[in-house]
Amino acid sequence: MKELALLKQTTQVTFRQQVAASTGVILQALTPIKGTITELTFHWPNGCNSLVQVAFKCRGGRFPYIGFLALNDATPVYKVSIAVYKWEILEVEVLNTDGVNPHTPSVIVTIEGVA
Amino acid sequence: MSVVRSFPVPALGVGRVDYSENVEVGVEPLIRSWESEYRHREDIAVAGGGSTQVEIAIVADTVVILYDFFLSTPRNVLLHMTLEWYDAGPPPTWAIFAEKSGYQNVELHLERGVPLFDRYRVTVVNPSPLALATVFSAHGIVTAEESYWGRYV
Repeated sequence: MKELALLKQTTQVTFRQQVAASTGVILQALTPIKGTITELTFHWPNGCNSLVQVAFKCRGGRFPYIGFLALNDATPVYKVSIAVYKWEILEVEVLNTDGVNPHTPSVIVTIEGVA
Repeated sequence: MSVVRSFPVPALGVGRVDYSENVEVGVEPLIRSWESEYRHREDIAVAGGGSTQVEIAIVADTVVILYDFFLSTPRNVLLHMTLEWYDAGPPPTWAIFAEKSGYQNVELHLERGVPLFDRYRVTVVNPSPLALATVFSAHGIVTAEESYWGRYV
Protein backbone atom coordinates (compact mmCIF):
# COMPACT_ATOMS: atom_id res chain seq x y z
CA MET A 1 0.00 0.00 0.00
CA LYS A 2 2.89 2.34 0.71
CA GLU A 3 4.04 2.06 -2.89
CA LEU A 4 0.52 2.79 -4.10
CA ALA A 5 0.33 5.90 -1.96
CA LEU A 6 3.47 7.20 -3.63
CA LEU A 7 1.99 6.88 -7.09
CA LYS A 8 0.91 10.07 -8.70
CA GLN A 9 -2.79 10.46 -9.10
CA THR A 10 -3.94 11.80 -12.44
CA THR A 11 -7.32 13.30 -13.01
CA GLN A 12 -9.17 15.08 -15.78
CA VAL A 13 -11.47 18.07 -15.71
CA THR A 14 -13.69 18.34 -18.75
CA PHE A 15 -15.47 21.27 -20.28
CA ARG A 16 -18.11 20.77 -22.93
CA GLN A 17 -20.74 23.31 -23.69
CA GLN A 18 -22.98 24.09 -26.60
CA VAL A 19 -22.47 27.72 -27.48
CA ALA A 20 -25.16 29.49 -29.45
CA ALA A 21 -24.33 31.41 -32.64
CA SER A 22 -22.60 34.76 -32.09
CA THR A 23 -22.22 34.10 -28.40
CA GLY A 24 -19.32 33.90 -26.02
CA VAL A 25 -19.34 31.97 -22.77
CA ILE A 26 -17.01 31.63 -19.83
CA LEU A 27 -17.02 28.19 -18.22
CA GLN A 28 -15.57 27.46 -14.82
CA ALA A 29 -14.69 24.31 -12.90
CA LEU A 30 -12.63 23.58 -9.82
CA THR A 31 -9.49 21.49 -9.67
CA PRO A 32 -10.27 18.31 -7.72
CA ILE A 33 -6.65 17.74 -6.65
CA LYS A 34 -3.43 19.65 -6.03
CA GLY A 35 -0.83 19.07 -8.70
CA THR A 36 0.34 20.14 -12.12
CA ILE A 37 -1.69 20.64 -15.24
CA THR A 38 0.31 18.61 -17.73
CA GLU A 39 -1.93 18.45 -20.78
CA LEU A 40 -4.66 20.46 -22.40
CA THR A 41 -6.76 18.69 -25.00
CA PHE A 42 -9.01 20.78 -27.19
CA HIS A 43 -11.62 19.48 -29.57
CA TRP A 44 -13.38 21.30 -32.36
CA PRO A 45 -16.02 19.26 -34.17
CA ASN A 46 -16.16 19.31 -37.94
CA GLY A 47 -18.15 22.35 -39.00
CA CYS A 48 -16.57 24.85 -36.65
CA ASN A 49 -14.56 26.15 -39.64
CA SER A 50 -12.10 27.97 -37.37
CA LEU A 51 -14.88 30.22 -36.14
CA VAL A 52 -14.99 28.89 -32.59
CA GLN A 53 -12.29 30.52 -30.50
CA VAL A 54 -11.22 28.78 -27.32
CA ALA A 55 -8.78 29.76 -24.58
CA PHE A 56 -7.94 28.18 -21.24
CA LYS A 57 -7.17 30.25 -18.15
CA CYS A 58 -6.24 29.61 -14.56
CA ARG A 59 -4.37 31.40 -11.79
CA GLY A 60 -1.04 30.10 -13.06
CA GLY A 61 -1.44 31.18 -16.67
CA ARG A 62 -3.38 31.34 -19.87
CA PHE A 63 -3.24 29.11 -22.91
CA PRO A 64 -2.63 30.30 -25.53
CA TYR A 65 -0.65 33.14 -23.99
CA ILE A 66 -2.23 35.68 -26.35
CA GLY A 67 -5.40 35.31 -28.38
CA PHE A 68 -7.43 32.21 -28.97
CA LEU A 69 -7.20 28.85 -30.70
CA ALA A 70 -9.72 28.14 -33.45
CA LEU A 71 -9.51 24.97 -35.53
CA ASN A 72 -11.85 22.63 -37.36
CA ASP A 73 -12.31 18.88 -36.91
CA ALA A 74 -9.22 18.68 -34.73
CA THR A 75 -8.23 17.37 -31.32
CA PRO A 76 -4.77 18.68 -30.50
CA VAL A 77 -3.09 17.87 -27.19
CA TYR A 78 -0.79 20.56 -25.81
CA LYS A 79 1.81 19.86 -23.16
CA VAL A 80 1.88 22.46 -20.42
CA SER A 81 3.18 22.70 -16.90
CA ILE A 82 1.03 24.79 -14.60
CA ALA A 83 0.99 24.21 -10.86
CA VAL A 84 -2.45 24.27 -9.26
CA TYR A 85 -3.84 23.94 -5.77
CA LYS A 86 -6.91 21.93 -4.94
CA TRP A 87 -10.21 23.79 -5.51
CA GLU A 88 -8.60 26.32 -7.78
CA ILE A 89 -10.78 27.84 -10.51
CA LEU A 90 -10.15 26.68 -14.07
CA GLU A 91 -11.71 28.78 -16.77
CA VAL A 92 -12.43 28.17 -20.43
CA GLU A 93 -13.55 30.99 -22.67
CA VAL A 94 -15.36 30.07 -25.87
CA LEU A 95 -16.30 32.63 -28.50
CA ASN A 96 -18.57 31.25 -31.19
CA THR A 97 -18.18 33.70 -34.03
CA ASP A 98 -20.24 31.53 -36.36
CA GLY A 99 -23.19 33.76 -37.18
CA VAL A 100 -25.65 30.90 -37.79
CA ASN A 101 -24.77 27.61 -36.10
CA PRO A 102 -24.28 26.65 -32.47
CA HIS A 103 -21.12 24.67 -31.77
CA THR A 104 -19.95 22.39 -29.00
CA PRO A 105 -16.20 22.40 -28.48
CA SER A 106 -14.59 20.49 -25.62
CA VAL A 107 -11.55 21.02 -23.43
CA ILE A 108 -9.99 18.32 -21.27
CA VAL A 109 -7.56 19.42 -18.60
CA THR A 110 -5.25 16.69 -17.28
CA ILE A 111 -3.92 17.26 -13.79
CA GLU A 112 -1.12 15.15 -12.39
CA GLY A 113 -1.35 15.09 -8.63
CA VAL A 114 1.61 15.53 -6.34
CA ALA A 115 3.15 12.30 -5.13
CA MET B 1 -18.50 22.80 -14.96
CA SER B 2 -20.73 25.82 -14.94
CA VAL B 3 -21.36 28.72 -17.27
CA VAL B 4 -20.48 31.84 -15.34
CA ARG B 5 -21.06 34.40 -18.09
CA SER B 6 -22.58 34.53 -21.53
CA PHE B 7 -22.18 37.49 -23.85
CA PRO B 8 -22.66 38.39 -27.53
CA VAL B 9 -19.72 38.29 -29.93
CA PRO B 10 -19.59 39.60 -33.52
CA ALA B 11 -20.10 37.00 -36.23
CA LEU B 12 -17.03 36.43 -38.40
CA GLY B 13 -18.57 33.95 -40.82
CA VAL B 14 -20.80 30.93 -41.20
CA GLY B 15 -19.67 27.40 -40.49
CA ARG B 16 -21.66 24.20 -40.74
CA VAL B 17 -23.84 22.41 -38.26
CA ASP B 18 -21.37 20.32 -36.33
CA TYR B 19 -21.97 16.65 -35.69
CA SER B 20 -21.66 17.18 -31.96
CA GLU B 21 -25.17 18.62 -31.97
CA ASN B 22 -26.50 15.10 -32.16
CA VAL B 23 -24.20 13.32 -29.75
CA GLU B 24 -25.42 12.21 -26.35
CA VAL B 25 -23.64 13.94 -23.52
CA GLY B 26 -22.50 11.29 -21.09
CA VAL B 27 -25.55 9.78 -19.50
CA GLU B 28 -27.82 12.79 -19.38
CA PRO B 29 -30.97 12.17 -21.34
CA LEU B 30 -31.06 14.77 -24.08
CA ILE B 31 -34.56 15.44 -25.28
CA ARG B 32 -34.48 15.62 -29.06
CA SER B 33 -37.08 17.30 -31.22
CA TRP B 34 -39.02 14.09 -31.76
CA GLU B 35 -39.11 13.21 -28.08
CA SER B 36 -41.00 14.65 -25.14
CA GLU B 37 -40.61 14.59 -21.42
CA TYR B 38 -42.44 11.83 -19.58
CA ARG B 39 -43.67 12.21 -16.03
CA HIS B 40 -45.92 9.86 -14.19
CA ARG B 41 -47.27 10.27 -10.68
CA GLU B 42 -49.21 7.67 -8.82
CA ASP B 43 -50.63 7.74 -5.30
CA ILE B 44 -50.18 4.31 -3.80
CA ALA B 45 -51.79 3.35 -0.49
CA VAL B 46 -50.07 0.51 1.33
CA ALA B 47 -51.55 -1.27 4.33
CA GLY B 48 -49.38 -1.85 7.41
CA GLY B 49 -47.08 -4.83 6.91
CA GLY B 50 -48.36 -5.26 3.37
CA SER B 51 -47.48 -4.43 -0.18
CA THR B 52 -49.25 -2.85 -3.12
CA GLN B 53 -48.60 -3.46 -6.78
CA VAL B 54 -49.58 -0.90 -9.39
CA GLU B 55 -49.39 -1.45 -13.12
CA ILE B 56 -48.67 1.55 -15.29
CA ALA B 57 -49.57 1.29 -18.95
CA ILE B 58 -47.62 2.91 -21.75
CA VAL B 59 -49.46 4.37 -24.72
CA ALA B 60 -49.37 2.03 -27.74
CA ASP B 61 -46.65 2.64 -30.35
CA THR B 62 -44.58 4.74 -27.99
CA VAL B 63 -41.49 3.94 -26.00
CA VAL B 64 -40.84 5.42 -22.61
CA ILE B 65 -37.25 5.59 -21.45
CA LEU B 66 -37.20 6.03 -17.70
CA TYR B 67 -34.28 7.46 -15.76
CA ASP B 68 -35.55 8.60 -12.38
CA PHE B 69 -37.90 7.06 -9.88
CA PHE B 70 -39.08 8.56 -6.62
CA LEU B 71 -41.14 7.10 -3.84
CA SER B 72 -42.01 8.98 -0.69
CA THR B 73 -44.31 8.89 2.28
CA PRO B 74 -44.88 11.39 5.10
CA ARG B 75 -43.65 8.92 7.76
CA ASN B 76 -40.08 8.03 8.59
CA VAL B 77 -40.47 4.33 7.90
CA LEU B 78 -38.77 1.81 5.70
CA LEU B 79 -40.07 1.53 2.15
CA HIS B 80 -39.10 -0.94 -0.49
CA MET B 81 -39.72 -0.26 -4.15
CA THR B 82 -39.49 -2.91 -6.85
CA LEU B 83 -39.80 -2.03 -10.52
CA GLU B 84 -40.63 -4.61 -13.14
CA TRP B 85 -41.15 -4.52 -16.89
CA TYR B 86 -43.55 -6.62 -18.85
CA ASP B 87 -42.45 -8.99 -21.56
CA ALA B 88 -45.40 -10.06 -23.72
CA GLY B 89 -43.58 -13.31 -24.39
CA PRO B 90 -44.71 -15.94 -24.98
CA PRO B 91 -44.89 -16.74 -22.19
CA PRO B 92 -45.79 -13.31 -20.75
CA THR B 93 -43.45 -12.54 -17.88
CA TRP B 94 -42.53 -9.76 -15.51
CA ALA B 95 -38.86 -9.12 -14.90
CA ILE B 96 -37.38 -6.93 -12.19
CA PHE B 97 -35.19 -4.17 -13.58
CA ALA B 98 -34.55 -2.22 -10.42
CA GLU B 99 -35.28 -2.19 -6.73
CA LYS B 100 -34.31 -0.03 -3.85
CA SER B 101 -35.13 0.51 -0.18
CA GLY B 102 -34.99 3.58 1.96
CA TYR B 103 -36.51 5.39 4.87
CA GLN B 104 -39.32 7.75 3.92
CA ASN B 105 -37.83 8.65 0.53
CA VAL B 106 -36.55 6.26 -2.09
CA GLU B 107 -34.75 7.83 -5.01
CA LEU B 108 -33.47 5.72 -7.84
CA HIS B 109 -31.54 7.04 -10.82
CA LEU B 110 -30.73 4.71 -13.68
CA GLU B 111 -27.93 6.31 -15.65
CA ARG B 112 -28.53 4.49 -18.90
CA GLY B 113 -32.32 4.64 -18.74
CA VAL B 114 -34.71 1.75 -19.16
CA PRO B 115 -36.73 1.55 -22.38
CA LEU B 116 -40.25 0.32 -21.73
CA PHE B 117 -42.66 -0.63 -24.49
CA ASP B 118 -45.82 -2.05 -23.03
CA ARG B 119 -46.24 -1.44 -19.34
CA TYR B 120 -44.31 -1.53 -16.12
CA ARG B 121 -45.29 -2.06 -12.55
CA VAL B 122 -44.16 -0.85 -9.21
CA THR B 123 -44.46 -2.82 -6.00
CA VAL B 124 -44.26 -0.92 -2.75
CA VAL B 125 -43.55 -2.98 0.36
CA ASN B 126 -44.32 -1.46 3.73
CA PRO B 127 -42.78 -3.53 6.57
CA SER B 128 -44.06 -1.12 9.24
CA PRO B 129 -47.39 -1.65 11.02
CA LEU B 130 -48.62 1.78 9.85
CA ALA B 131 -50.88 2.22 6.86
CA LEU B 132 -49.05 4.51 4.44
CA ALA B 133 -50.04 6.86 1.67
CA THR B 134 -47.09 6.88 -0.69
CA VAL B 135 -46.42 8.88 -3.81
CA PHE B 136 -44.56 7.28 -6.67
CA SER B 137 -43.27 9.25 -9.60
CA ALA B 138 -41.24 8.32 -12.64
CA HIS B 139 -39.40 10.67 -14.95
CA GLY B 140 -37.98 10.07 -18.39
CA ILE B 141 -38.56 10.67 -22.07
CA VAL B 142 -41.19 9.37 -24.44
CA THR B 143 -40.77 8.83 -28.15
CA ALA B 144 -42.53 7.07 -31.00
CA GLU B 145 -41.56 3.43 -31.45
CA GLU B 146 -40.43 4.08 -35.04
CA SER B 147 -37.98 6.73 -33.98
CA TYR B 148 -36.73 4.60 -31.10
CA TRP B 149 -35.74 1.84 -33.48
CA GLY B 150 -34.51 4.31 -36.07
CA ARG B 151 -37.10 3.30 -38.61
CA TYR B 152 -38.38 6.52 -40.11
CA VAL B 153 -41.45 5.08 -41.79
